[in-house]
Amino acid sequence: MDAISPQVCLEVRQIKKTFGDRTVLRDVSFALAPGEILGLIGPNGAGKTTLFNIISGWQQPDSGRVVFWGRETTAWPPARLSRAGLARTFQAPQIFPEMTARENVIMGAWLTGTPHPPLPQAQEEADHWLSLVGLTDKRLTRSGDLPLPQQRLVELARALATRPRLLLLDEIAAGFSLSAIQRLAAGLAKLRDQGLTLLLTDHLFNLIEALADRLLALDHGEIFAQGPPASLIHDPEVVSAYLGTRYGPDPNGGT
Amino acid sequence: MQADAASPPLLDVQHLSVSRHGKQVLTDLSFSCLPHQIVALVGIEDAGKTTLLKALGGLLRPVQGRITLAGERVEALPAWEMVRRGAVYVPEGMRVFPGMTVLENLEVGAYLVRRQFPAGLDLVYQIFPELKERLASPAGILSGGQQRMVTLARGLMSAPRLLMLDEPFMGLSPKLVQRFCNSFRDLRQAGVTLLISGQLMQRVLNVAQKAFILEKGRITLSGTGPHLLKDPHMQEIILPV
Repeated sequence: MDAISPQVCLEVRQIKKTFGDRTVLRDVSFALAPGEILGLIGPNGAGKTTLFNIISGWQQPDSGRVVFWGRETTAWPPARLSRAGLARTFQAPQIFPEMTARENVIMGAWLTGTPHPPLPQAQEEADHWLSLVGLTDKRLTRSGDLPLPQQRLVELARALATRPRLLLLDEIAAGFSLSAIQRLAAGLAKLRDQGLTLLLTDHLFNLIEALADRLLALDHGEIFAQGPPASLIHDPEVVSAYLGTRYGPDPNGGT
Repeated sequence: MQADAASPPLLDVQHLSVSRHGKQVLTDLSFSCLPHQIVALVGIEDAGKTTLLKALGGLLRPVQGRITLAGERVEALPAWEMVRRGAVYVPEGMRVFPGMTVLENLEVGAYLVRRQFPAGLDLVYQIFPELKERLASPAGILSGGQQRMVTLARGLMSAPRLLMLDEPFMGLSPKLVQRFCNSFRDLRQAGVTLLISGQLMQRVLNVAQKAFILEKGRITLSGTGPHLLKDPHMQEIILPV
């Protein structure tokens, strides 16, 4: 950790991104305080994953800046950002399918440790993170054979093994049972208490509501609403663009 | 449109057992779907839902049991023959042909029913108007949720009689889930029987004529959707989306 902890963990300033003639992000700015949990919501195709890609170095913005822990990181490649303490997971898990769950997590532990910790120590560390995400009994399973939700947990454990300060979770809970979501929320809340900052996007409101201090609503590449979850879910614009009538009567009901 | 209790089932499954990687996943399952019904298959991860749908779609061979589609035995038929007979399995996740455009993906869906391509396209535009403006884009550059829409739309293009959807709503915004569920009535009127599997099932259970819970490869509870929705065990499993 740096000797001086900055006031801001992540700052995104006026990010613009186009693909061909399609503008995906128009002018996105926001900041994340250390230890904050921020949820990003919005319709499919709103630009959420593109924003994640830009923050984590997988894509470059056309203009605008990303400042992570006081340093401008806009042009940094993902590996350099990982070593600096920024980890992420992907909507479609990007694990090494031929490796066991444990081996995948060791890759995370080895990324930041220089020189690499010896194997027994790395294994122990990997098992610690696997037990945290509830995959102890799958640690020797070939990762590609695991169901998708468990592949997401392997990826989460690998991200945690890099010992991040900021963790980006892109629809981590898709396919989880309610009890798994609750376990995950409790685990992430605990990590936050130890100093982790979180930016997450998910269509499962159970997770977002349980965790996020604040929500940003993104549509057409712009942030159009923000606030604590309890107030944002009643925002008419958010309801109309994203939520719909959540638990309202179904027009098919009674057929 | 009401399923006639006396009409023969479109799909009938008897004593079905399926193994994967040498391990038994489904054990002695029996159930049926009447024409035009909405049937909900609820279960947590690892329950065997995907294995069941794959077996029904001709992608896995059962070790035991019978599958009857519209009165004919089909458990030994390949997947393409099942699609030709109208039993269409839509996998979970984002399963598009990434280098092909959205329109080409939809054309692949209609490959065996080319004459019905325009009607299929109308249906897709009605449910997923978002795709209309992305027809010329390679499907692989769409957002995750949009790729999910293409995956579902490609299934709709096959003019299915039995449409089997594996966790169809995952990755879709709440509003889109709602719109898709609102299309069920039209789908049933078009002659489609829906077998929907997953955990994001509250809206489906509201309208399902038949529902069952699958746990460790066995059916542990069955009934009508609204009835099962009140069951405390069901409440633990489903996710309210």
